[in-house]
Amino acid sequence: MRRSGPNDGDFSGRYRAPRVLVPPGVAEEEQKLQESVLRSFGSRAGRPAGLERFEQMVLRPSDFVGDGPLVGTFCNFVPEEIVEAAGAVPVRLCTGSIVAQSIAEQVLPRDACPVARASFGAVVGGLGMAPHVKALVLPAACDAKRRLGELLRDHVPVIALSIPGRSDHRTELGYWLSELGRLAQKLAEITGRTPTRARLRDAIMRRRAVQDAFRELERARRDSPHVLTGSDLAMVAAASFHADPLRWADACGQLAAEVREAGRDGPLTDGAIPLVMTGAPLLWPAWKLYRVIEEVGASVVADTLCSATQRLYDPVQVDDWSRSGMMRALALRYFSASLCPCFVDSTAHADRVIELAREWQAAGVVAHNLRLCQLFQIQSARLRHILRDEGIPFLAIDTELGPEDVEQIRVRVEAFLEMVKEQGRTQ
Amino acid sequence: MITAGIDVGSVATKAVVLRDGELAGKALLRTGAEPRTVARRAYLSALTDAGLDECELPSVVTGYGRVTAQMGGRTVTEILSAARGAYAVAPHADGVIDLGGQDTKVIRLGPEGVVTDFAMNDKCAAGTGRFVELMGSALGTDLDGLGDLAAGATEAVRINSTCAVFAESEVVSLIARGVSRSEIAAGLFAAIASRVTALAAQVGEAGCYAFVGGGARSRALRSALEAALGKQMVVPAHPQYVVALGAALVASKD
Amino acid sequence: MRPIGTVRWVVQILAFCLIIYGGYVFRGSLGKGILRPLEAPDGSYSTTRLPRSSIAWAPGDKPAMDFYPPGGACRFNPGGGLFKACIIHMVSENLTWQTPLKYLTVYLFLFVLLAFLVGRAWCGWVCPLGTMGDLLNALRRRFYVDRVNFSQGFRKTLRICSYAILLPTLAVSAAIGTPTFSPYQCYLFLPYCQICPGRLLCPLFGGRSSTVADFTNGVTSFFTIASWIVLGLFVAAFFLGRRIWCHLCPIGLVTSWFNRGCPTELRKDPLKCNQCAACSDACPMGLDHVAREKEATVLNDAGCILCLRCVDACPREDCLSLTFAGKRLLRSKYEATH
Repeated sequence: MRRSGPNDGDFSGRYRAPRVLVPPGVAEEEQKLQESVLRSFGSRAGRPAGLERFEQMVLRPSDFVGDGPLVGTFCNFVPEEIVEAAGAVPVRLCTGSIVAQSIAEQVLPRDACPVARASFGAVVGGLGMAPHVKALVLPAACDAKRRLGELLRDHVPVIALSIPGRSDHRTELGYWLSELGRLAQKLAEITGRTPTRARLRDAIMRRRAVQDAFRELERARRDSPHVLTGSDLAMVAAASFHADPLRWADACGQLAAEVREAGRDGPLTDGAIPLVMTGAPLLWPAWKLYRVIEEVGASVVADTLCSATQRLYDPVQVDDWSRSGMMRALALRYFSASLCPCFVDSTAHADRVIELAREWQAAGVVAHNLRLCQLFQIQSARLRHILRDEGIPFLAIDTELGPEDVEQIRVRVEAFLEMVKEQGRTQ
Repeated sequence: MITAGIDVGSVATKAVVLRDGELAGKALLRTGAEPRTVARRAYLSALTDAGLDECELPSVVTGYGRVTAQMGGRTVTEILSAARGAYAVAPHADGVIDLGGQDTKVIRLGPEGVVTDFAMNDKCAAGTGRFVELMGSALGTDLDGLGDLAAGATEAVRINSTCAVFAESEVVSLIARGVSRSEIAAGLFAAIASRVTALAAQVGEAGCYAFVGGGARSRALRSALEAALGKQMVVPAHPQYVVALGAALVASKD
Repeated sequence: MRPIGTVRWVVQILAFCLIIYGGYVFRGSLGKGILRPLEAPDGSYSTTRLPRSSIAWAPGDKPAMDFYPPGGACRFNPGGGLFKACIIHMVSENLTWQTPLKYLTVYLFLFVLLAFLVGRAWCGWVCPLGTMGDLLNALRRRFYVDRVNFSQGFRKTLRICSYAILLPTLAVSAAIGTPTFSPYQCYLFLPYCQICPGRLLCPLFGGRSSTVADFTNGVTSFFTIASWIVLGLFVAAFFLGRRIWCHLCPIGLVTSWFNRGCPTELRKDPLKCNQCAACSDACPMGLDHVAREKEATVLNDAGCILCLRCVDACPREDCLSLTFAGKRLLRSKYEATH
């Protein structure tokens, strides 16, 4: 991996980052963890065969990643089209692995965001696709991510992306564009390829295939609601972190066709109580919440998670195909459309949760909060009152990545389902 | 109709026999590390207490150990059971506060005792029986002793720590500073009450709360809660058995 | 990719051809005898006797019908055009002629009726000057030239300038109708038309040209230079800035008074909006309120020309829609590109 120079602009190299001892065998441990999580979901009769391809994409990402130099990203704020236009392949390195998290404990405090710890541990521990990336784009969207850049720069060149506190495009667009311009320039220095107008256009059109396929899958799920579970959909989304977009879109299109075929008589989730999930990213393989929800007889039918639907839903709407027009469209899609709680106004987020709950006739909303993240915690506290006024049942689950509180989660989810059943909110 | 309800709590297992809507027999045993055997023994004990021979009544198991207890039959969460039980013994209450061995729960009830919202604190011990035990031993007494101490206090010292472990060391340092045990005890109850109040705020204020669980046996806790919430508390007879009673009621509805 | 946009192009081209060439086709025959035509009183100026002889207005020209809609329905269209003239021409002319109000009422009423029913949709779908401008914009897009974006402050300033054009036009037109100032009619008749880009552009489509330069005296020189500047700005504004010009147009200003409260409404379901601002990016008038609005459901605004590019751009199902008298006609939906 290329190290950054002494001062690459974003971080001064004067002080070296602490050394991290990577215990031997972590890669194997990680693989075992992922396989055991997959197994814990059990097999079910009639599960669409197309899902296997997505499982392979998640478990063996290097087989499906695109050709070219890899650039790691944290978070949903990095416009992947710019990375691609610079001739690189974006891979999202956010993870929920407790194996990775334990590596981070040598350096990061116990009270740091679990996702930050896990993702940091993955990079320094060389897990997943992290060892192969030439650079890492790190949006400073939250406190933890702000502090990780200087700790990671000794392992991989880090490009920081500044995220302002307001998402009002009228005042912030200029700033976003300057950050994206800077990103494009820095990537060009690394790959040697400038994101020209033609390359940006190709990248945007290619990525549109991803959103088109995801919408197609959404339509198929609406027509045949009892075929895919929430964890299935999350698997589809998790596969998009690394897989080449066209291959992913192709697999997604095929899955949509399969789901439609299976029709309304899917034997698996029939009777599963529909829930909307919101809150902090539920990153693979920390999927205990999905598992508990499905074990007690519910399923997540819609979500606002940046690890799932939010990653794939909004298209880049280009009005003007000049280079500045495309950059503007990217800035709007990646910043203005974002529902991240790092922005001061979360009205759009509450609206989306309510809209989804109504559209999918959900019995209630479950908020997945990471205990150490104030952004999601405070947003969730506010959402509770908003949803109460709307008459939508709400359950907040405050948790971390590890499995130690599965039973506590189970009793809450079970009690929540008992409650909504009694209120007559189930189909 | 005769049914049974077993509440396998983390600290104590309670069993209740319900005959035609009336409490016919009850039993309480410490859960320890063997929920399965203890659940069975508690059930049999309750049968005896009800004057019945050993038989298989329709029963529902609830509580922390409901799955491990494996008594067959239906399981429901202790939230639902607490709601049912509280509605049966205190029909005019629209809130339930359950201070248990290792967790605290606040449940909001709507018309007909339907659960409209709930909040639980089982991550940390503050307010639970565990917490009280720990604090009690720091002051050299138990829950009842703490209550007596607190009753004699003119004012309550402010306990800042929300964590049981830190609260214990805070108590120890307060003792070392010469603060009277009465004031500390009163402060502990005030701290518990404020934690419960925060939990109650999450689910929306009720008009009147049913106070159940092991903690309800303490007058001092009840007064502290009433003072903090500014609301009336109804403490049913046998508050520790209300959850098991609720489970038995669920069994009778099936 | 943009279904409404495609229909709009078709409507714009058809309207353009109809309005510009309608004079040749219908030759004064439409609606003849229904409305009392407005004519200059003896001794007063008319377009046959403009301060500068405008060979764009040939003696045989007969506009197809007596009606004075909003912009682009230029008196100087070849053959006289489909319509007699635009509303500002009519008001200016008749203020100078001091035509009795009772003869004007019908025309004013018809204009108000049109404006009330469709608001500024005329600007977005029909106005030939707007269509010309949109073609210039298309040229820019063809060569991937970056567009210029204007701030809200700038747009507000333009609207104020629009008043600063309209009000003096009316004042001067009324003034030169009075006996005191009527000697100045030879210089100041139809003051707005003298600088309007329509006078210079519209005749070109019939292969004619209007008087481009007249340096006979100080006043005519002033108007000559002014009309060049205005034309230059018109072309630059439309080429680089989409419809920014329409914030300045005084006819658009008058029509915009009817935008709020008109039965043609741009509606939004705020719950469905995540403020992605694709609508704002697509808006040729550069309006932001469609993206930012999170409470109201009716989005009619003085600056909105109802071109519906926002509805095409919005990727959320049923978020934006066009309604008429409450009945939904068009809605936003996700357009797959693959």
